[in-house]
Amino acid sequence: MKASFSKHIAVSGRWASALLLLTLLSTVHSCIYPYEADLNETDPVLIVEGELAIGDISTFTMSLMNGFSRNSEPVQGVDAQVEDEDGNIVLRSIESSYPRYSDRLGFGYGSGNMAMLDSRDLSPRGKYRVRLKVLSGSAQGEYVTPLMEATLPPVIDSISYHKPPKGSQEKTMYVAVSFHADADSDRYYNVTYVETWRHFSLVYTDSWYDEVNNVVEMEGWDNPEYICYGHNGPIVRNISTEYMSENKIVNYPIIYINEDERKISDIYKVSVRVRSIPPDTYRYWKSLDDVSQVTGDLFSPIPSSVRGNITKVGDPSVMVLGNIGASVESTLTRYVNSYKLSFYRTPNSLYTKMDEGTVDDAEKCADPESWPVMYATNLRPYEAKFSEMSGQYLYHTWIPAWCLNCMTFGGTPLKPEDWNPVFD
Amino acid sequence: MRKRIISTALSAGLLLGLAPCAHLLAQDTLTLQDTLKVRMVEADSLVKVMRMVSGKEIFIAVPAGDESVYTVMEPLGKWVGVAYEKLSGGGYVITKHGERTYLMKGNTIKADLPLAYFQKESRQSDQQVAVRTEEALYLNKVYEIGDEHHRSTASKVTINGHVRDVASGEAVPGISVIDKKTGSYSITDNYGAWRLTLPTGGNTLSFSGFPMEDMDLEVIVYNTGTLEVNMKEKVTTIKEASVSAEAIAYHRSAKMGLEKIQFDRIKKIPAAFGESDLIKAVLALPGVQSVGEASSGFNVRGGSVDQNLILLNDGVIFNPNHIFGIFSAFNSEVISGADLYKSSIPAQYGGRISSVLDIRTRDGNSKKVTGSLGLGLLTSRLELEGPIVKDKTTFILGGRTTYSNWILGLLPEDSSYHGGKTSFQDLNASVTHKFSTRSTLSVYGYYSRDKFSFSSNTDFKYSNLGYSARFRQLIGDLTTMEVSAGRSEYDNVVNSDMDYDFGAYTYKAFIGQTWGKLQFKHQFSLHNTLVAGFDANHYSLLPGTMVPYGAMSGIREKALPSQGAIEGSVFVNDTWDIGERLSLDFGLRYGMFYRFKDEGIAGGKFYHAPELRFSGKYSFRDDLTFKAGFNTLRQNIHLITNTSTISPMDSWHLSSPDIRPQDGYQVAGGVYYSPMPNVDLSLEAYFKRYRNALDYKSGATLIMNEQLSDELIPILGQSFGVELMAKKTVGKLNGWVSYTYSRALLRDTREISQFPINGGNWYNAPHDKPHSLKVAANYKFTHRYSASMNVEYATGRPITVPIGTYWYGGMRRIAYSDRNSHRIEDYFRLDLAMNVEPGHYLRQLAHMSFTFGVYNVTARKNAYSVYYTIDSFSSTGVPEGYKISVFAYPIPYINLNLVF
Repeated sequence: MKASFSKHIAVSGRWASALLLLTLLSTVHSCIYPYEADLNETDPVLIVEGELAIGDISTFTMSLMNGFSRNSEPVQGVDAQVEDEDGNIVLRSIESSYPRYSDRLGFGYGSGNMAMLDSRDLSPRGKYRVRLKVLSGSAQGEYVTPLMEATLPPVIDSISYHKPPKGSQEKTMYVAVSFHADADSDRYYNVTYVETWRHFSLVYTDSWYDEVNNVVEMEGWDNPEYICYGHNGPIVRNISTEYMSENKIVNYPIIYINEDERKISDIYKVSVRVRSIPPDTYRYWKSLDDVSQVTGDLFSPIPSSVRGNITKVGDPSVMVLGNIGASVESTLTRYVNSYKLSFYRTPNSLYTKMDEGTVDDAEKCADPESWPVMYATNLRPYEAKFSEMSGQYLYHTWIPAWCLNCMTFGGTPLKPEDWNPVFD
Repeated sequence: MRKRIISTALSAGLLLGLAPCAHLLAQDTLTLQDTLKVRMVEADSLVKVMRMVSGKEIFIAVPAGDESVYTVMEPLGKWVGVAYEKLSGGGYVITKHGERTYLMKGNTIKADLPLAYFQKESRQSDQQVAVRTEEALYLNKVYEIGDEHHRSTASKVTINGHVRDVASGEAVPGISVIDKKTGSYSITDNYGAWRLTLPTGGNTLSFSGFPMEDMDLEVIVYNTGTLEVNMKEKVTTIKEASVSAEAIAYHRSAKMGLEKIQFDRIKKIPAAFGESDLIKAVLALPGVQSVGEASSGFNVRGGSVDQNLILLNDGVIFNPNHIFGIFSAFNSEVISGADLYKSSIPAQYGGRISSVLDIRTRDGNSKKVTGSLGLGLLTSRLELEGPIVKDKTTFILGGRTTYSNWILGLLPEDSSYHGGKTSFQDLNASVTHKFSTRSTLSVYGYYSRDKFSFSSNTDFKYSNLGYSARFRQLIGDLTTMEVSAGRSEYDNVVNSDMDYDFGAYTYKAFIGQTWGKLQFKHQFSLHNTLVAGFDANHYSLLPGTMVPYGAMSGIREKALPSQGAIEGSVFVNDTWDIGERLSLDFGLRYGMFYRFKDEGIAGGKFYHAPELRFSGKYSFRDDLTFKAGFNTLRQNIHLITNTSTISPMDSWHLSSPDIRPQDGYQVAGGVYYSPMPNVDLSLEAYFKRYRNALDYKSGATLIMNEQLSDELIPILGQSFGVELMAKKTVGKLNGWVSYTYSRALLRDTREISQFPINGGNWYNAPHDKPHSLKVAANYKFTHRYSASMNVEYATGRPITVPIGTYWYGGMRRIAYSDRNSHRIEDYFRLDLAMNVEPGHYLRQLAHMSFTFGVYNVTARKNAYSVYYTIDSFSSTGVPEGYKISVFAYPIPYINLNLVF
């Protein structure tokens, strides 16, 4: 019996090996493929974003989602008011003009699609309803929220920066937030953060080309594109302490930064606002995240439209996207400079690219006849070459203009009105 | 009285063994003082010698299984007397009639009719005459049932028996038993039992059914009795026409929507990686769908996955799949078969509103210890079975394990599943003891475990556990009693967020069900059978617990209140044949459910309601039948899920004050036509409606939610369809082709102000696939070589697609269409396989069979799931679509099966 068994197993082993190899070759491919669906157009859908910020300025921005053939467009002509639980109007829209940007209001707000209210004096103990009006266009009409009770914020304990351990090959750090609230408070939170940073152009020079006089000057140039300010956000994260033993969040990562990201090359600032939200609002944000990001998994929830708490007066079946809440926010801002952070590494590829575009030809660079041409081809004088022998500057090297423009790395030379670095 | 038929071989051996004695007896020199030594012979052999020595007619009826041996060493003059004494001491009663002597155990032969034999009361005495049991093995023989000297005065008597496999001694279900004289019929049940009422006198009984070779037995019926039939497995292609059990079911039974799946048919349907699979066989039937290849559970006639009652030896299985649906939880080597009830659900089943899949395991070979070893590319299995006491007590043990981690490790590094791990094991065990042909006790056990992880962040585990016992007793000739009890458990564990120490947690959910059932089946007459009984369940649930994972976790321990309930039902079902053409099946089930009070919640909740089960059939001709049926059903247990397939995070919940039982009805009708023997055509149509099924609000939190009922929406469901099927059950080419048109729709009935799903309009259920074509075919070239083919086509299932994107909360978001308003591409798959059976060499210790084939021959990249992602900071605003195909390429496989 033993011999018979061995013989069978030996034979079966040979067969199995051959087909095992064949199976390996046929199955070891990724099973995720691009998919082009026939995506239908939709009627314009109103999107409302904003928060009734008790103790601060409240803003409500409205736009129309137009499907894939056209981008979303702002809604022109909006108005807002806040009513108390008795139906009395307690706040109306105010005019605003913000030529610069701020963490709260972003860039260039004050255009027609944003309604602004001064809610600094609203009582955090009240109940409020927000009523929005679109004065014209396909979304014309009135929109209203349910009566909302203001929520009280947690206390932000810290914003911390976490680098990989020494010796690690990891090249990403993260910014984390910690906060806590009373044990019997709500356990759902929105954490909104805005990143703002200052960065410079790749290189600095005092030399500049006087186009009018066809002269390369060696000093006196105040490069308007040397310092830039970048900005990202506001971005909202949804966090819950429902399953935590304490109503507390410790070092929750909110931002991941690679070592070669320009935002940490000089001064970097994070402003965090945390507010408590009711369970319905938490579910709204969670489902937004799920259907937009957490998809494709074998066990992902089936996606579906996510409505908020805003309905059209007179026709509640009309789809409106967005969720408005009433809350008091806690805020915390932290600045850090590159020297203290000691994490940023300028990618060598930038300098390599600069070197490839640099003209260091003595004859050419010293010839004024070539300067207009070089200037026209987006080259700029950079470094003066000095001759020890003659004791004179011979010529300037010319480099690509982008090396002297901080906007190469994004941002704007426009300084935020609330930029006021104070370091720990 | 039991008369044992001795096989030719055995007789020859005994005669050879007695040859020296015969020679001795023949010697003229033997005197009465010479000692005749006969040692260790069985009773009938002893009687043979007695006949030779005495020269008289001596007859003995040795009971089956009686292997007592006798030794008689006495002088020849005393030898016969001592032999009688020995036999008497062995329990044999000696009766003399004239020159003949009869030896029987426990009975005597009466030569005279009792007084008042011809009076009415004499029928009672007919039943008092000992039932005589025959064991049938040979075709060319006339079997006598009942005592020739005590013939019944009734024109008809009831005989019963079992059909067993001659090789293994195991019961064979699904065999049709037809009396050719009267046309009355029976089909062997899961225990191989059959019962017929026949006229006294000569009859011809025809036994046929897959996979056994047809048998016609000539019987003479004198009185009630038992006929135990041993059939052998078909080796050569059947040529003669015979009526299949399926044809019987079509034209004789009022039940409709019943599909019987047998072990050998399961093995013939090609499946992924060559693993023969019960659930894959079920999915090949019309009216049964799944949402995709890697999906747990199945949908029957538009019902959801939790609306199917899946029973393994009467115990409930809550998750019938391994590795997210690629393999089923059932080891096909230990399965004898399964019955799937799609519409006419007998009243003895309850608790789910869509279907019942009743699976039975085999008892094991009662003759010798055998087994099989199966080697596949992803799994291996070992099965052992055999007698503990020959022909009385048997065991069967089957286990499977997988080693599939190697294939996940070979996926490209950018694949989400690279480096993932997955494994499962399952174990089946049972012991069956036959006290007699009339009573049997079986004890079963089942355990399965799954474990998998696809990333370093999360891993999943779940397990099924079941154990039960069943006792079956024939009471008289017309009544069967069956009592069973057991326990089923299912638990799932998820470790999640393991990359974020502070938030890492372990989530667990558990459900346990203790059950008991008592059922009687009584045959009032040839035309009327009644089944009645009651069953009870006790549920204990832990809907969810969450505990910290790791020392750094800040998660607090939390447990949702445990849930408990008891459920009891009484049922009665009557099958009544009114004449030759009309049959009716009435059933009534009354169910009661009491949900105990949860901690901190005042008061329990009691639900109760009747369930009506009715079906009828009218046969215009022997080959043309019309059937109709109406069922109402209820369900007190719900699977809470918001995915399209059963996921490890899903949990079961009981009905409560806030979650009402699901209830519904189904109306069905069908026409059945058999144009030629073994070819059956059917057309069935159905309409189902149910309410209080559960859907969820968008963004609902279903895990660890103490206010779960706030997240759930009671839904109205409706499905309808038409199923066409052509089936050929025997012959070189066999299998079936089916086409189904069906719809499954849902509706949220909340007020418009509550933003009902899709505005309160009917919407497609996730498993709605209007068109479905299935082909399952097998062709036998010879008795060793056969080929199998499986074709499946279905409309793509519904999905929800993006209709636009917008900025919100600093990120680009996707807006979606109405739920399930679009469809993925249609599904198509062709599988081919070649089966090589072992040669029938009796002397070979082990036999090896091969199956090699290709799954998804056309390499179609069927979409299991379609999803869209968008770079959160993208400026273009167009989401990118992806589809997941589980089997995107042809999968060749080979399965080796060693039977020893």
